[in-house]
Amino acid sequence: MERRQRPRVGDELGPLEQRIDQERMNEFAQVSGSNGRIHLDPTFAVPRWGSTLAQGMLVLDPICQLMICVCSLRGWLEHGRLEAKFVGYTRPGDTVTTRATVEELSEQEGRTLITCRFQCETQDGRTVIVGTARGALLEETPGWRCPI
Amino acid sequence: MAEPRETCFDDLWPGRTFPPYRYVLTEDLARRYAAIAGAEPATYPAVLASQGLPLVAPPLLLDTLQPLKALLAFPEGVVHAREEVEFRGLGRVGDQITVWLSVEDRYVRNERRFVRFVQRAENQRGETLLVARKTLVWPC
Repeated sequence: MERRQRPRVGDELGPLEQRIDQERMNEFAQVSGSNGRIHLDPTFAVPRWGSTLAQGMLVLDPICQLMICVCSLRGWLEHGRLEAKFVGYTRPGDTVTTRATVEELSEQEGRTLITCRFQCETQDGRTVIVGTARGALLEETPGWRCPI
Repeated sequence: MAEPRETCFDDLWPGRTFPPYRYVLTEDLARRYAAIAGAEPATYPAVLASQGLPLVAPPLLLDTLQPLKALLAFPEGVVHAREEVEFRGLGRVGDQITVWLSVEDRYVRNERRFVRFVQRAENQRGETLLVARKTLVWPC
C-alpha cells in the first residue's frame, strides 16, 4: 500500500458504505452479545419500533476503518478516541454511508493528532449517528484498502 | 453471574461496581468479529501481517455488551444512545481480558431513563486496552 499524503483540515474521509440486513445483525449478535429481541425478533420489535433495529456498534464500525486508514492501526488502536451519538434507527435493508471531515490537526506529546467529525446516513438521507473521532498520525503504512 | 431478576433503573446507582468479567481473546473470535463488522473482512489478518503485527482484536471487539449481558439481568428493549471509546492498546490473540464495569451516571430526560456505564478492558499484565462509556436508554 502507498503511504497516503498527510491529511489537511477540510479533507473528506470516505464515503464508506455498508449494507445492513437481518442476517448480518443475527451474526453480529453472536459475536458481540448485542442479542436482544429488539435486534433479532420481529414479533417483539415491530409493534414497538416498526422493525428490528440494527445494533449501534455494528453501524458504528466503519468510522474505525476510516480512522485506521488515515492514522494507521496503532495510531487508532493505541491513541484513538471516539464519541458517537445515536440519533436515528438503522433498520434491516438500510445502506449506511459513513463520511468524516478533518476538523483539526494538532500536536501533543510529540505526536500529530487528527480530529474528524463524522456522520452515518442511510440511503434515504436519515442521519443515524453523529460524532467525533481523534487519532494519532503515525508514520506507518496504513495497509488497509482505504476508500479515501 | 447475572442477577436473579431483571435489572432495572433503580438497581443501577452511580458508583455501583460489578465483579470482573474475564475471557480469552481467541483467534476465532477476532476473525469472526472482523468478518461480520468490517467492510474489509477478508483483508484484516493480511493487513496486520503486512505491518508485522499479530492478529489483534478488531477495534470494537473489546467494547461489546458481553460483560453487561453476563453481569446484569439485562432487560429487553435497551436502546443505545451514546458511545465514547478511548483506545489505549492492542488486544492480542491469546490475551486474557478482564473487564471492569461500573455505573457512572443515571438520569431521566424527556421521560426516558438513561444509564451510563464505564467498562475498562485490561490484559493479563494489567495494561488498559480500552475504556468505554456506554449511555443506554433503560426500559424498566
